[in-house]
Amino acid sequence: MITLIHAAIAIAFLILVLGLFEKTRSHEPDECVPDNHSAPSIGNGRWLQLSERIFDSSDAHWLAEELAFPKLAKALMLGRKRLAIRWLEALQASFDDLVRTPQTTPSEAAGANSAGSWRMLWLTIRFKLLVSYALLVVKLFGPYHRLIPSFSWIPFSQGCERTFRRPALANSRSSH
Amino acid sequence: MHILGLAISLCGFLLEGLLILRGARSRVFRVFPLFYSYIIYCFCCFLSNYLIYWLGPQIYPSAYWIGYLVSILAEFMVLVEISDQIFRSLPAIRNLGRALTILISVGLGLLYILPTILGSASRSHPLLDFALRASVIKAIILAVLFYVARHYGSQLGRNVGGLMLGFSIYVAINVAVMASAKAFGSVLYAPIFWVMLPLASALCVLVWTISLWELAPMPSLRTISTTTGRDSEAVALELTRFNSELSKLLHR
Repeated sequence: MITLIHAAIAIAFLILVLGLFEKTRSHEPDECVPDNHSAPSIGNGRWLQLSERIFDSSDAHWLAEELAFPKLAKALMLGRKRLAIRWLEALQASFDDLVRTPQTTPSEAAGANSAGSWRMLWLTIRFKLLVSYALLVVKLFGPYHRLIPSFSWIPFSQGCERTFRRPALANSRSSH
Repeated sequence: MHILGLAISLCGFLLEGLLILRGARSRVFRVFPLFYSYIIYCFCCFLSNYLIYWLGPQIYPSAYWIGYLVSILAEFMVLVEISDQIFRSLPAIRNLGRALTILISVGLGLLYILPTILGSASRSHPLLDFALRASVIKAIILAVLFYVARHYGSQLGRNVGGLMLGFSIYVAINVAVMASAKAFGSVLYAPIFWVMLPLASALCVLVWTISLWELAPMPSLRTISTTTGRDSEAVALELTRFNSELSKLLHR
């Protein structure tokens, strides 16, 4: 029985490899880039501002609490949820385009194991994990849910948060 | 069967010699250093085993098995070479292949191979079991590398594609042959084992010789234009920017 399983593994592996090899060979250079939605650039300020609008809950709160239209607020939230998912998917597609961008200088490719390459790999994996997590949270709880859970109920967490926020604030001020 | 096995082994050895000579002439050596060091190891191993067989036949079995065990581990160098080459032109994920190879090797080595070594006293064919499991891990790594390369649209090119194809054939035959040997018993399966392992090796080296006959540039490197391609620093900056934008969103 184990022999059969191993033989099946070997045959399946060969078929898989030959299939993937054939498909990879027949790919055109531009074919691998998904073009189901145009991926906007991260440098596009308007596109980034859009995210602030999508993930801002004040409109829905205003509709639900001040104007007392809970159904309309719910509909708005559902629409925003769809938009948030599309925005995150577009961000991911834009990132994938960047990852698939080949290098202009082939000679540089020889230095394959520099610290910079490992750092870039870390940034790629970090982004992939974070965006998948963000998509999961938005799909499960909607766009207005906190993406990082609040630990304010823990007494010592406030001190930690302050310590972490200070350099971030200083950085943001210096950049302006 | 015995002579056939020896003849196939000799063919494999000659092909390895040809591959080394051709590599030295066409300067493919520099591009695939790990792969060629593995080929040189195989070549020297065969030569030394042959000399030991004629000069000191009493120590031949131990010399053969030591060489065989080291070659099982040395084959991982081919995988590292393949993984390094696949994403060479994509600066953001240049080390992804190597990271995957190391992670899978270490992870599965601890979970799948280490129990075989630790419990080798109670097993009937510990060495065969070890070789079989190592081959299964190599097959898994190759399949993962193929999948990730396809996902990121990495163009393999003739050289790297040939390396992968040859090694895949070798690994697949090894898995099937070793599993059969384990199931049917060494006495019954030994003659087939004697032919099939050198045949797998010779087929693999034949594919490698054809694909590495000349240095072929990676298709993605060939098609880069200055408008679509970027240098590493620009990509690193963009990656940092993407991460900071996403972090801002998460800290909202």
